[in-house]
Parts: sequence; C-alpha cells; structure tokens
Amino acid sequence: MYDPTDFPLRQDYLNTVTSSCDSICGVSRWFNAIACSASEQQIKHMERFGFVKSIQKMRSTPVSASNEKSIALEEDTLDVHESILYAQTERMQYSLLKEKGYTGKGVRVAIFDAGFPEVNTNDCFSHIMQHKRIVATYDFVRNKENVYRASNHGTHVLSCIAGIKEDVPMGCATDAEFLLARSENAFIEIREEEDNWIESLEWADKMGADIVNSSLGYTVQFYFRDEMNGQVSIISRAANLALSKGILVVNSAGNEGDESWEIIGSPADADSVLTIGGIEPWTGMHTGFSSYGPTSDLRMKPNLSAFSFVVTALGRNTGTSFSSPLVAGFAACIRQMHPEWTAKQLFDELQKSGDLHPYFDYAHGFGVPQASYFLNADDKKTSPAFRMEWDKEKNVVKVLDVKPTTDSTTFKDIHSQWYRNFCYDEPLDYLYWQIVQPDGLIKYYEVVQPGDDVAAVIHNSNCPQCTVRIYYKGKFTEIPWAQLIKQLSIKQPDESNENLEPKN
Amino acid sequence: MRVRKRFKLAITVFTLLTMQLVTNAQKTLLRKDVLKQNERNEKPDFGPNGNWYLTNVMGFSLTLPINESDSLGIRNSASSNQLYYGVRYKGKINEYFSAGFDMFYMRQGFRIKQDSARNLLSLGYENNKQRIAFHNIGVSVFARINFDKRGNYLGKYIDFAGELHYVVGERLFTKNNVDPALHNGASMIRTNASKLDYTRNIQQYGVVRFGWSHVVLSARYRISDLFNASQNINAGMKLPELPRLSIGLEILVPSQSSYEDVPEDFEEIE
Repeated sequence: MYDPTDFPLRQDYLNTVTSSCDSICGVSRWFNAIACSASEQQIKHMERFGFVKSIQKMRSTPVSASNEKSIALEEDTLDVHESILYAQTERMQYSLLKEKGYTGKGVRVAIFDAGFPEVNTNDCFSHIMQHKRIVATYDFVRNKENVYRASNHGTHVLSCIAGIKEDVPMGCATDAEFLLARSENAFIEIREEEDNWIESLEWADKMGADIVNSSLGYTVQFYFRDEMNGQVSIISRAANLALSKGILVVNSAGNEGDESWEIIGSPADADSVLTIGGIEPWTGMHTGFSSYGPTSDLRMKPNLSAFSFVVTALGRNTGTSFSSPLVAGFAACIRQMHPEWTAKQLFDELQKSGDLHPYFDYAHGFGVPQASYFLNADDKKTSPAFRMEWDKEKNVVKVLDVKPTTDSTTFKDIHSQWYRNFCYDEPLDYLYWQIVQPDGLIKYYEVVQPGDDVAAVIHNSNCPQCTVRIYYKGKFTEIPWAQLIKQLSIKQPDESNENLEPKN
Repeated sequence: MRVRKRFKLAITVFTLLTMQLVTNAQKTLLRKDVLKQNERNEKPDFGPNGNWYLTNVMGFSLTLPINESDSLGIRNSASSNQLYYGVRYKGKINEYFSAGFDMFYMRQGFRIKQDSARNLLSLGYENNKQRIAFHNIGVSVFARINFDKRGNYLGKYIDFAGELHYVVGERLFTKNNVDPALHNGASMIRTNASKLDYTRNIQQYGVVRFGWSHVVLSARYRISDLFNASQNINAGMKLPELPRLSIGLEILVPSQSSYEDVPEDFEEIE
C-alpha cells in the first residue's frame, strides 16, 4: 500500500536545491519538502524555481515532557516504589492482557527521544536485547546509528513501554519490537530538531512502525496558545499524516498544567495524535502539572490518561513523558489483539476503553484505558442513576443518593491500601460533572468527593441549551439542562440573572 | 437595628460552623472554567513577542582596550568597568523587527595607569593609584532584528542602539603612599575630587547587542570624548582619552508575567 506522499523526492530537484543553499538539513517524502540552511539571497533565488511551491522558515526547540520536580511523597520507601511499579501497568489491567498472551508480540513501536543510554546494558532490557527486538536505531541529531548515549530520557520512556524490573513489567508491551530514534538534542537547542522529528517519523514509517511514542512537547518558546490547533506546527501536520499511513502516534500532553502556558503543546494538539495526560497514582486524579485541553480550536484533548509518576529502569521519574509510553505499550497489546484494525479504529477503540468513557473532560480525557473493555466488551451503563433536587433558593441542582466513602485517609493510609486503590474493584469515589455547550465545548467541569448528604452541587450554568453530564462510579448521566429543570418540576430561571453563573 | 444585624450575622456564622462539624460536605477536588481558560488563547498584547514589552535591565561590562593607547590608559579591564540598571521598552513592528528605548543609570569606572600624561590631578608626582568614576543617566533608542519566528518569547536577536548619557557626577580618586614625616604622621593620602572642569557632561555611544531571550551580550563604543581641555591641568592640553570599547552581559528581568497568572478557577484543590 502506498500513496503519493510515499514517493521519494525527485533527485534533480534535490540536486538543484542542494547547489543553491548552504546545506541540506533534511528531506521529507510526506511533505515533498526539503529543509535547508540558506541565506535570504539564496531563498530569493530558490523562490524562482518553478518546482518550489512555497518556502517556510522553520523554528524549533523541543522540550522533553518530563518533570524534574521530585515526587511529593512523605516517605521514600521500597513499598512506595513497589506499589507504583505494580500499579503503573495494573491501573490499565495489565494482568488481563498478560493472561491472554497480549504483550505486544509482533508489534513494532518506534520511540523518538533524546537518547537511550544503558538500554543495551541494563538488565531491565535484557529480554529485549537478547531476542534482538531492537530492530533498528538511528540518531538523527548526529546522523549515526548509535543511540545508546546522550540524555537518558528515552531510557526512562522505553522502560514504561517494555522494561522489566525484578520480574515486574514496567510497561505492557514487553514482547514488542522497537525502533529507537534520537531526534532531539536535550543539551542544546538547535533549529533542525523539528526536521529530525519528521525524518524520524518517515524513517519509522519505512521501517514498518505500528505505533510511535513521542514524549516531546513544543510550547511557549515557539508558539502562541492560539496556534495549538494542530495545523500551525509542521510536526503536528506530519503526525496527522501518520495516522492515515497506519501509524498511531502517542504523545504526552506536556507538563505545563501549572505553568502560565497551561494547555497542551505541539504535536499533542494534532487531531490524529493520541494525547496522554497524567494522573497521580495515590489519588487517581489529574496531576497538577499535566497540560489541559482543549486545543485552541476547541477539540477534545487529552484523549486518555495514565500514571505520570512511574518507576523506570533508572529509578523513579515524573512527568507526562511517562504517561504516554504506558499507553503506547498498552496500545501495542491491543494492536496485537486486533491486527486487522486500522490505526484510526485503534485510536477510537482506545478512547472508548477509558475508564471514564463516555464521560470526558479536559484534564483526564476519557480516563485510563482498561484492558477489560477489549476482553469483555464491557458495556458501560449509560442510564441516569442519580436522584437530583432543585434548590430554587440557591439556584443549584443537588445530586443526591450516592454512597461516598467518608474515610478521611491520609497519604499513609492510602499507601497501605495502594494496590487495592489503584487496581480497584470499586471505581474511585469521585463524582465528575460538567456543563456542555450545544457546540460540544465543555464550558465548566468539576471533580468532587461526594459529601454525606449532598454528593455534588451543580450551579446553574445560565445556559438552558447546555447539557449537564455526570459521572460517578461507572454510572453516567447526560441530560439537557432545560429538561433537567423540567423533570425536577421547577420553572426555568431567568436567564438574565447573573447569579446563575457557576460559582468558583 | 445594627445590633439586630450583628445578631443575625452571629447566628449565621454559628450555624455554618455547626453544619461543618456535623456534616461531611462535598469537597471540590478540581474545577475548571474552560471559557475563562480559552480567553487566554488570544495573543497577549504584553509579552516578549507581544505588541509591547517592558523589562528591567541589569548590565555589567568590562572596558576592552583595542589599541596601544588604550592599553596604556587603564590598569586592566576587570577594574575598569560599567555597571548599569534601567528599564527597556520594546514595541513590536512585525515578527522580525521591533524598536524601543532604554532609560538607565550607569556607573563607569576607570582605574588609570599613571604616567605624566594621565596624572590627572597634578600633585607633582605620579600617583600610586588613581581612578575616575562617572555617574550617568542615559537614554537609548534601538532597532531590533529577530532571527526566527517564535511564540511569546524573545528568541534570538540583534539590537543596534544609540545612547546618550548625561554625566550627573564625576569623581577622581587618588591614593598615594607618603612619608609620614612630611605629612603629619600619615603614611597614605587619599583624595576625592569632584566637579571636575575637564570632563564632558554629555557622552554618546553606539551599542550592538546580541540577545538570547533574557540574556544579552552587549558591545558599547563611546563615540564622544570623556575629557575637555582645561586651563587648569595639563598645561591647557586635552587629556588623552580612556578606552572607548566595553563588552558585557545584560540580564533582563520582566516587569510582569507575559501571561496572566493562572486564575483561581483553575486551581486544583488538594
């Protein structure tokens, strides 16, 4: 199968451009493009070539989506370490996959990162090295094959896809095959890295990659927030092309959630990229630093979530950089399970497997993917399951009749119940609610821990056309606000009343 | 009436407190107002790559002798330097061009090598140590060229600037070891002379700056002379000039965040 974007560039065009610029930085089949270093005069000269459709100035500097902040744990014990190690895969129901033999066998995963030192020597990867499952490597920064050097960010990432530590898997796809590409120079900022990323993607395509993991994000240094629409950044556009070529690109949401940038970066903004946000292991909630959606053109991002506090071959690490490979490994197992699916189908089904699905919010996406969805075709209950009450005086709808756990658990308490809490039989005791505009934009959302008498208080959205969506322990309710008010046998409040705005 | 209001308030507070004690109210863990979040997607007016930007500037530069005369004039580069602090306003013209101005205070110091020509304060012999300091207030205008497209970020750029300094004060310091027998028991004499009639009040500079975000490498060349001729020193002859070139480093500190702080609505509640 091929399409015109797979054709190589015409050699005579390439020769002409080569002779007209200082140096060639990269070549893209997909975009039928050449990246080169050229002076203004040379650019003007090249503009006159009949085969040149347009010239764009490039800019680039990647930022690894890892977070160097130390893990905010009260205790740094082996138990904590082990709990996270088990839970980072088990939160996605890894055991079910393993039991059925889905460990990514035969699936080829490409990883774009800043370097992979110790991958060839560390015991955590010996099962991969012994079976020669690193199919190819290439350092696009130095144009050499050796990638086992430079930043160890890629080593952490590979751990979260396929590493095994003391017989415990750190990722789901322990039997997958790998393509390791160094596209990023973590130590200096150079303009060619965006080209490297695209070259890596095309290389991965040529090498038969099924899934790409890229734990990179490009934000404030090179873009404005309004440019996060999947169309401005060239790597976002390339990532969009990848899906049509059968490659699922999994990318971290970024660590800007508590920074002024706050939203996802590029290429996580691309429509066809499976963008992964981060959750805390000990609460199951969105991690403060994980970047939020939506995109600037109001598309739903992130798509899914996974742990952003992980154990890797080199110790512990934090960041959505590691949420992404956890899901990439999971996706490899599902690809093994369903080789007949297109990449788009895989993308859609992974979204549906989220433990919050069909509920979605811009912090958690559809939640953490669950293997049971694929193994049991687990249908989610979608019937209304809450009793609600209209408090006319306070102009709010109260959600009643949920049975919260009222234990006031400290971190230590949670820690002792950790495994049980992460890999729960009972869903976590959080109630999610949101108000959705008619155009599909989630206008406002909250996550609450239900109280004794009232589970949640939903403030009047001052938007009769909006829909209220509530999710609690697998039960999902979606009801237009007007209908809700009618059902609760009350009058529609005056729209002009300013007090109806959600209160902060 | 007022007493009644207070009574009502007290009752309300009491009731709320009591309710808190007896019920486990819902606890909001995360709340987001997406409409407010999206408002911030608009390109900011203020910012490193906004329509305007204001930063504090702190700079330090070392005098760099570029010819033999310069080398004779000062003891060494490290001890002859410029320290300045000010504000820089930048207005954006387009993605690649911007312009702006600085206002600043600068202290210039030169440690002067001693010879007959530079023995500024004629004591009849060469001083052991002598330095001259200028306290200037200055303004500059600059044109900036950026090298690449970028987000709300200063990026890499080159500035071409012209500076005008007004000397608000100047001091000449000397230090000499002397014979205590001839100087009332003092073995050292320090002098501090001001209101010098042989220095110019106005100085002009040409400046080139290479910036990488908020770190800037600057080169400053004095176009005008430091000294006037004075009938009172050097037999009415103008003093030799001190080195004109200095090279240094500037740090820019934003006057305010280019993006608004994350509003309270966005807080994640522990």
